[in-house]
Amino acid sequence: MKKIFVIISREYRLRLRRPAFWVLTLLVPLLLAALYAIPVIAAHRNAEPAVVLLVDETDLFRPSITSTESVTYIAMPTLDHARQRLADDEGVDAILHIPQRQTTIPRDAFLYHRDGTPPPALMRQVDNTLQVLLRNAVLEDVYQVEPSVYHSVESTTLHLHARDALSGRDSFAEVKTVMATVLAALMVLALIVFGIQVMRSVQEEKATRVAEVVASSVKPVQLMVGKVAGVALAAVSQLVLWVLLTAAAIGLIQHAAPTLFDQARSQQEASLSVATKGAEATAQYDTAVPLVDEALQGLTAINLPLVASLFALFFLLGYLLYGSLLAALAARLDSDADALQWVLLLLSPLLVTLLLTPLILNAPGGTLAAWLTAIPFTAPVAVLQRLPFGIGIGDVALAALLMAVAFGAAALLAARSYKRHLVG
Amino acid sequence: MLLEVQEISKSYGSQRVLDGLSFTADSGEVVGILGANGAGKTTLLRLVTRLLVPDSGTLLFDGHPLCQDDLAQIGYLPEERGLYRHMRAGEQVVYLARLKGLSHRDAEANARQWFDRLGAADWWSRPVSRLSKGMQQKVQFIATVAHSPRLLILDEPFSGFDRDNAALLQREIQRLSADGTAILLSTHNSEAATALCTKTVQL
Repeated sequence: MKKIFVIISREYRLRLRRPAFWVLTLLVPLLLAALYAIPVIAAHRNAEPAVVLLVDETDLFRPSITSTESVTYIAMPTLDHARQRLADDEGVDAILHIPQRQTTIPRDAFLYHRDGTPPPALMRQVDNTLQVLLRNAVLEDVYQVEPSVYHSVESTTLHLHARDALSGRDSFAEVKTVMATVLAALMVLALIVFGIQVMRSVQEEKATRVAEVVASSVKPVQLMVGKVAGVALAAVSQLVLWVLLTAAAIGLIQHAAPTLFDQARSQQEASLSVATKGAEATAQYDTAVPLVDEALQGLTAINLPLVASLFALFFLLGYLLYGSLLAALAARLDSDADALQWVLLLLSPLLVTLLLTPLILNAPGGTLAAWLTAIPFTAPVAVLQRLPFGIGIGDVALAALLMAVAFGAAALLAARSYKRHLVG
Repeated sequence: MLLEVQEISKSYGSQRVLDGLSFTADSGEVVGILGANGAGKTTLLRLVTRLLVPDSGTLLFDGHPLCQDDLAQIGYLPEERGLYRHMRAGEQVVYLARLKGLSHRDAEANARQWFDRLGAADWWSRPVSRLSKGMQQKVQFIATVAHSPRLLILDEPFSGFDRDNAALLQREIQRLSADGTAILLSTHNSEAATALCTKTVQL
């Protein structure tokens, strides 16, 4: 056991000493923090409203169109006037042209943008405005219905809730589906990334012929277990650092520019009413809030500490199993050229289980899900796919036990392969 | 008798490499393993380090069948040298000595002593990748002896050394032998073999 700890210590320290480890450890949180902050900063920078010249030959929209925080409409008498103004005035961004209608209801509108292609956000906002105004006009002129009345009717919906028959609690099926998919994808990604690290480590020992020296001191199985565990420890350290540093970076950004994020939040809320007014905007906002609430309630209803613990357990078991097999493969292969094909073949159970996500989520307690949970090569993904929906403790225990047994067998196989192909 | 090789045979497929080989090596003896390329020298040394398993015959260490625990008392310098390229030289020797069962403190003390003795103290903190081939050979030799083995197995130990360093190594082998270490020496260097070996095994 002491020798295994010596190997673990070496593998761990070696990885922590590599510049690449720290570059990646610092870079990933910075990237994640940037992913979080850049849209907010970009939105803030684009806070200047776009100026759109309106040429409405139908006279249907001009009377009721009003400027918003993000788009200022200026009515123009003709398209030629508007073109001239666009050419002369740098502050004008686009021309919105609604041609004379051939039918009762106009069918087309054109947005001429200064830079060729208008930003998607501006397109969306102008489009929303036109759709709402057109609908309101049709409601009033054709059907003699007040738009506010129409919207009251439209927003009267029945929400079907899925509930557990025994506890009577909401099932939050959508939230759980998203969570199961994300967890499974994360598991596959983590197993591939860290499994490949073990493989590279073995390839290095094989290439430098150190294996012969080490194997004359320790049993191959000790070498394998120490190597796999050392890389696992480095992987877990990196994951923990990623989580902590990402949280710290986001916290720092929020602390440094609190008004920016408050503005962004209020802009998001306001964006719901971009093309609507008064009661209609309020009603749309009111319908959006319950969706967010439901997601939060769904997350609350899921036992997150249990999910996190089982994710960690099955990541560890999956990593040990696949890490050992990849190490055995690395010992066996003589050229890098063959490696990719064999790695893909070895990892295919994980990828196939990921592809089967829709079928498993359709029946988390079904036969397919049960079999995939029991098979050690597919269990790390299948357990996480089933976890948010509730999985029996017996199934989890059996999966963990079978994976532990499979790891033992894989470690022995890897050790034998190591001894035979590295030094034999 | 420290090492007894009794009627050892080993084949690779249909090719018999060792056929009923027997010899002994006692403390302080330097046993030369001689033979042409492919005669089975490296195979024999790998059998003694348990990297390979004999088809038949027995290996006794200190009177009992050679087992995994005995490897702590054996030092092995393989023909194809191997060191971790990104590890520092001193750290690497300490690591390999710890795998032989030494505590960190003893491993470091022994390793520093050997680095001083072979004029390599300045390399202690250098990564192996920054050492010349000859320097790496020296570090590998230190890694082989740092745990004070009772049986030393040297497979072509002089390859890669210049004349001065080969002479230095030869003196150290003689000194180890004088201190009671049993040595199995496989070499093509007949001069060194004649000077060092107390007996030879022809394969």
